[in-house]
Amino acid sequence: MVNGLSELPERECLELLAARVLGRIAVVVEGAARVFPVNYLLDGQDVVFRTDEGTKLDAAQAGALVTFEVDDSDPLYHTGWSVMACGHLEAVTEPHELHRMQSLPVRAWGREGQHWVRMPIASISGRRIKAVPKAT
Amino acid sequence: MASAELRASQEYLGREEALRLLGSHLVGRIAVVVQGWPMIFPVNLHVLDSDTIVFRSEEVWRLTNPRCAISMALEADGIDAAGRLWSVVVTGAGREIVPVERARLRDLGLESPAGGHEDYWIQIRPETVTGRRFGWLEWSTA
Repeated sequence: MVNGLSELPERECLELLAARVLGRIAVVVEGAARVFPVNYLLDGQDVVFRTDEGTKLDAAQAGALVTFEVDDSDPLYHTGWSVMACGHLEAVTEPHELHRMQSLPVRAWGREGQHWVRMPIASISGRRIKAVPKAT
Repeated sequence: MASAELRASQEYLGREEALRLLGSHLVGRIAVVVQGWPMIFPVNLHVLDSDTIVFRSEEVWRLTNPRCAISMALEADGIDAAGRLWSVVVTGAGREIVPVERARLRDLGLESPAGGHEDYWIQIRPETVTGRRFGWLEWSTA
């Protein structure tokens, strides 16, 4: 074991993404990274979540390239995994799609989450971190 | 199908309290822009002197070259002792921690337990700190 990092196969990345409800989304605003926690759902190959007016909705309306990340870790044992998916964010506006999504079990953090957005996954990768043997 | 609904009141936290919560937490995520792309990496973080965030990440280091100050964002979230959800987002310039400063990290016991690599230490001086705390989680299943 060199550094305890191993790449996860794409299928396992999607399984991990499908099994969680809380992730973080990063967007670029005026050249700088911004990051937000979101409750999400994997809908087929799309990450979908709810949001209100603000940076995330602006990014969706502009079709911005974003990164979505999900992770889990056990600080005690120095183990964990993370999955990163990239794609263009889209605002969901088609009435049929909106209607369907409104029945999905997704809640917004804090506020109402009036708008639905989705990120079709263009690429995905993941790593698992195992404990590095302690130097003696 | 199970459904869960969060009926939450949202409360904004002051900078001091947000950084205190951050300091109580070990894991965060660093977002950086790499060739125009936003990327996110989980890191183990520490808060020094109440207002300086330090972490160690070979990946962030290699992708951003923080010898120059690089714009970074950090997010962490958790559940406090009263069962309330919180999240803190920090933005600021990240830069390398030079060896002379790293001696202090050693004194604080923050060097990697794995030993070996002393590099890849980065610090962020927060420019903006946004903290939110949410009320009780109310799960309903239908």
